[in-house]
Amino acid sequence: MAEAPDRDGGAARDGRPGPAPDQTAAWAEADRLAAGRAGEAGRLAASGGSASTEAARLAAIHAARSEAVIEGIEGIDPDFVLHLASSTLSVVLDHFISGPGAREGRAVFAMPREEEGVAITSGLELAGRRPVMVFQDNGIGNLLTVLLTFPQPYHVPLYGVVSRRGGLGEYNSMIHTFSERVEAILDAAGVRWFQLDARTPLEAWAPEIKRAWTYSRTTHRPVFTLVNLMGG
Amino acid sequence: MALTRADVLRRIDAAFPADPVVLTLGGTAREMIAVAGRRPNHLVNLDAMGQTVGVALGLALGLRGARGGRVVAVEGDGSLLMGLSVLGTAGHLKPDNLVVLLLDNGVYLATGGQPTAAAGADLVGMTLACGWAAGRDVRTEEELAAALDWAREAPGPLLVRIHVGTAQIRTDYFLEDPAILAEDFRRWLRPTGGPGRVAEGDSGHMNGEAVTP
Repeated sequence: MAEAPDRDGGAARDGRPGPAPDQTAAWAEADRLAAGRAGEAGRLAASGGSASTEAARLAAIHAARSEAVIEGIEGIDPDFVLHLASSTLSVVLDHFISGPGAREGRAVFAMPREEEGVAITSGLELAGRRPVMVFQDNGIGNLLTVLLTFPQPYHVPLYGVVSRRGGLGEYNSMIHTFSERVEAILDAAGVRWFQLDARTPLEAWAPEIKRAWTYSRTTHRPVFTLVNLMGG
Repeated sequence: MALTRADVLRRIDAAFPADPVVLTLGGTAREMIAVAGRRPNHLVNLDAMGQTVGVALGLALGLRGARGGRVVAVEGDGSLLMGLSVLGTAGHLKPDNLVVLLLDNGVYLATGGQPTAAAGADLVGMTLACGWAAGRDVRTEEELAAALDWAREAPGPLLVRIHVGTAQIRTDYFLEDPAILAEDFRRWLRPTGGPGRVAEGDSGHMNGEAVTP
């Protein structure tokens, strides 16, 4: 299994559990299929399989990773879930909007813009609540100013799960122009982020999400976890 | 004679002495400090223009049921227009403890008085169309006094659009470390019944009440 990105050493390497004996078949299959971008590309080139077979593989990866993200967010036990529109996150959002995650004592609502989400989440954090933002990486540009003028300098912990776009498996011809630069943009802005993709074993995703949330409390600042649900 | 911002801020401080008040940036925050001093219940938004009401909305949602009283946003017309989508979000969520006091001078005063787009906009009508409980336009001392009394009691979310002139009082720059501003505000919130911080491993819902949009 490939290592996690070097820049995220704290989140992806410390205490990483070994493969769980009860790992589901779906997760195992998804891990095998998504063992790395190069491997995936090679399989695509060599397989000669039908498009529908590949679509099914990517769907299995998406489903398994979405479940891992849901498990991770539920591990935080948020009382507020603020979300932005995202087709990639549809499984995750369905869980919280209308599935088992829509429960008494938890408010789940949509944000029209990422910066408004940061403002409301900051207010919730100041009130001592336990909010989580869920949105897509092409919205990062919308929130940078408020992030760097409110929660970051005010030392307000804030946590977001951010789905990746623009890599292998992307179906939009334009979105990569922003999404492929998200890591560099966040680095330039001094925003702490971690990444979960094919390089991190799927069974580690949920605990890593909880640990990143904890890290936002420990370091009194915004922290994002970038999650690739598309196969890369 | 137009209401002046400094006088209105003095009245707001007197009307909400024990409620969280989020102050928009620029001259509004500086004039509040000049007329009322540093108040522990005041959270100064130093630079996140357009997001003062959003922060107050988060506080209102987070404190609803955990403490009585109101959460007040003191916003300007230019800043509100930068984050106008929050009217829809607040109208949808309907926190009954949220009060927005909009000081409308029609210009971006802190940057030289460039006109905003508020002059021809029915901002109270917008909030009502978005589902807010009620709103008022205020132009006189008498209307201001009545509106502040009303805003302390009526179910929210409420918008009071207070038309003020462009006169300013001389103030110093306010250069406090924002981390201190936030911590002072948190420390004030904690003993007054706020849920408080949540430690890792806690179940999270400190006050146990149902929170529904």
